[in-house]
Amino acid sequence: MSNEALAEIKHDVAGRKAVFERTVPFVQRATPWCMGCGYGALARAVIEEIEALKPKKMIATIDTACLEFIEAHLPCDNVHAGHGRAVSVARAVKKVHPDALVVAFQGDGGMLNEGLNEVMHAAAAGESICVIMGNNGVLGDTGGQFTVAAEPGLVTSSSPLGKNPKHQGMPIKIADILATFPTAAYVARGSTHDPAYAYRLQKMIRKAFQAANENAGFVLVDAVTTCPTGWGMTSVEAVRYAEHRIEGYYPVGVLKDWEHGEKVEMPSFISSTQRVEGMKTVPQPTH
Amino acid sequence: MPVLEKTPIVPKKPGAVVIDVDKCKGCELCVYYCPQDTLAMSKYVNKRGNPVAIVVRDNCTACMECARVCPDICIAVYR
Amino acid sequence: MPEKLFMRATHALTEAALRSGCKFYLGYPITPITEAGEYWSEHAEEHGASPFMVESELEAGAMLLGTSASGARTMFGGNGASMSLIAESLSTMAGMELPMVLADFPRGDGGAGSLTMGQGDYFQVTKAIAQGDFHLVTLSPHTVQECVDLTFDAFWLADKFRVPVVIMGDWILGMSMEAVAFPDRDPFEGLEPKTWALDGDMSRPKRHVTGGSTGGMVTSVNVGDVGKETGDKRAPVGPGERSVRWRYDKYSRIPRRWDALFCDDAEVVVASWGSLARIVKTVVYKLRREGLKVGHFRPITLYPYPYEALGEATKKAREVLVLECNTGMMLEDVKLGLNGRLPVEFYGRPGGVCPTMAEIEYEIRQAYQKKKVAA
Repeated sequence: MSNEALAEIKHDVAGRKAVFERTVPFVQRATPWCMGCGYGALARAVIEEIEALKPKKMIATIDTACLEFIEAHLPCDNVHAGHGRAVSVARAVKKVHPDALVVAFQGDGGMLNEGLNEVMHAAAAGESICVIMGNNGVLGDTGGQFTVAAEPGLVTSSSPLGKNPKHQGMPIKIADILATFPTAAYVARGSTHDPAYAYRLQKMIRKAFQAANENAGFVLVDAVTTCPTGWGMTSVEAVRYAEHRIEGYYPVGVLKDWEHGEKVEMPSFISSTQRVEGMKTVPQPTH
Repeated sequence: MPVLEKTPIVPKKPGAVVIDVDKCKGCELCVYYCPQDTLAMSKYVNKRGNPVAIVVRDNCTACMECARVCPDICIAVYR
Repeated sequence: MPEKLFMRATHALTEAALRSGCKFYLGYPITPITEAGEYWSEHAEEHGASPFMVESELEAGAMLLGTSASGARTMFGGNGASMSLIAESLSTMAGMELPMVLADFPRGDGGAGSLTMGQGDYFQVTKAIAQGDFHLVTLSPHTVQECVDLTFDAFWLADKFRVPVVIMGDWILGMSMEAVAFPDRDPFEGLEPKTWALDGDMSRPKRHVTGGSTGGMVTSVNVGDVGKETGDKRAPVGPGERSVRWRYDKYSRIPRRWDALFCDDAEVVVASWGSLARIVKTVVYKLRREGLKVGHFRPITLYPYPYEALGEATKKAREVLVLECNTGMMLEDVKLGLNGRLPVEFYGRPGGVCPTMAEIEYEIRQAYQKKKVAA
């Protein structure tokens, strides 16, 4: 059957108004991801929230990973970063343009394998960047090898019998760790596998953008997504597996909440050389 | 899957769905999540070679579950 | 007449960077560049620069990318090991045409390296520090004053040609203090505003910083003449080729700089660079006073190498002697430039040893008397 004939098999929408419109970039262009990829719903949520927030200045930094294909669809200035480096590049951009909304897009491989160092430094520094992590447990771009975020038992091309914690260790739940940092403003975890979860994730992204735009502090949204290709499953099997992933390792929810007006304040300090009474040592010579 | 006698289908309930078959990659998530069984997979493929999801019933309630989960953002929902 | 200050090379370089409008110093403490970071953290805010100190070198590589893409003047400070650590980022940034200045003060030997003079990083910096078709534009100072002047020049070249530029010092220079004067010059003279840089403005079409094969960078480089004899049987041109050819087109337009001493009538030309050149020049002056027709050639742009100037300087020479603190790296560029026209001798002490004046004098005399020189 031709495409035109297939397209005719639809509901007659006469007299009805749209309650869910397709996000504009995707009307012309198909998404570049595999069928059933969770990044599709994530990209939709991100672009809709950018359009809702209407920031005056926004710059995105995108890691080298499956998520990099979002670049073409983003409406803002963007810069490509090497694998694992997107968060540091976002920090650097924020230092040059502190009044812009700066968002870093990174997968779990980029964040937990390659760039764990960098996201922790960024969080400890309280940089008001919004980091969105696409968490699917695999390095999708290279064919689906497991990452640090993969749970035990995940069968991938580099763990054909399932990821073995004896050799590879347990997953690092970075969102939980960063939520304990006093310099983190908003940390949340959502998922794209189910429509209700996808809707909640979109609301988390909305709040995340608002918090970063108001320079509240470090913001992280952990978006648990499905990778049917990497997991070797059909899309429906992948969303059913995702439920196990969420239940066992990545429960969704807001890990550190934020309200408008809240801001991470760095403490004031007294220099160490003034704290010691009657100090006899000579302080560092100035140049 | 009921045989289609007349297209386009005029829905009896308030909701209506339009799927862009050019972009559909046939992942079946909308079919899986639709609580009313309004959608099903077509046995035909589109130009890209993917079997696409199509509407097969007239009972859409415009719950938007299909559109929210679609990874290719090819569904528009009307009420 | 600008006032003269007595400063360390690393401090002088950092002060020059601050006066050039550099906003970020991204470097990790490592001898002998450490003091540059210390000076920066003390004086940055006076010049409106960021006092931020990066946590690790790998992050420095990524933050060079971010600050440069956002349009700020930015610099890196390190030694040979640090440069190795940011190598992948350098390749990416060369491909993205991002301007930045890298202050590199290597040591002798590899690994952690000796805490002594060495010039063993010549190949690393000028030939190929990282993957992909690119070179690093490299400037080589030999006095603290030159550190200052070349820093101003480096930022200007970087912005003008949109390339990373390395200022490669060495251990002796890193540890030296000399009198310097800061020139009163406009650091942005003759430069266009950076309309390619990101500022996040949502009211205009978006800008995208990427490059080379991954980015499908748009350039106006015409590669139409390549393989035109084979017509439609030649391989098609892609964004990667355009990107590489554009880079090399830029390198071909960067002005070469050198310093030639007594070369007009020199029979033997001695070539050296960096702090070793200071010692060699002293010997050359001494030998000239004795009547030996010795000249000295010192490249200031190590890449792109001043081959033509070398040819000019050795027009009347019968022999060239290359002296380096390595096993023969600039030697290859000299041989390449002379293309067999003259015999080229070499004397070097690698692994962190600097030859004494006595050694250098002996080797030059040997070369002058057409005797075989020790390797």
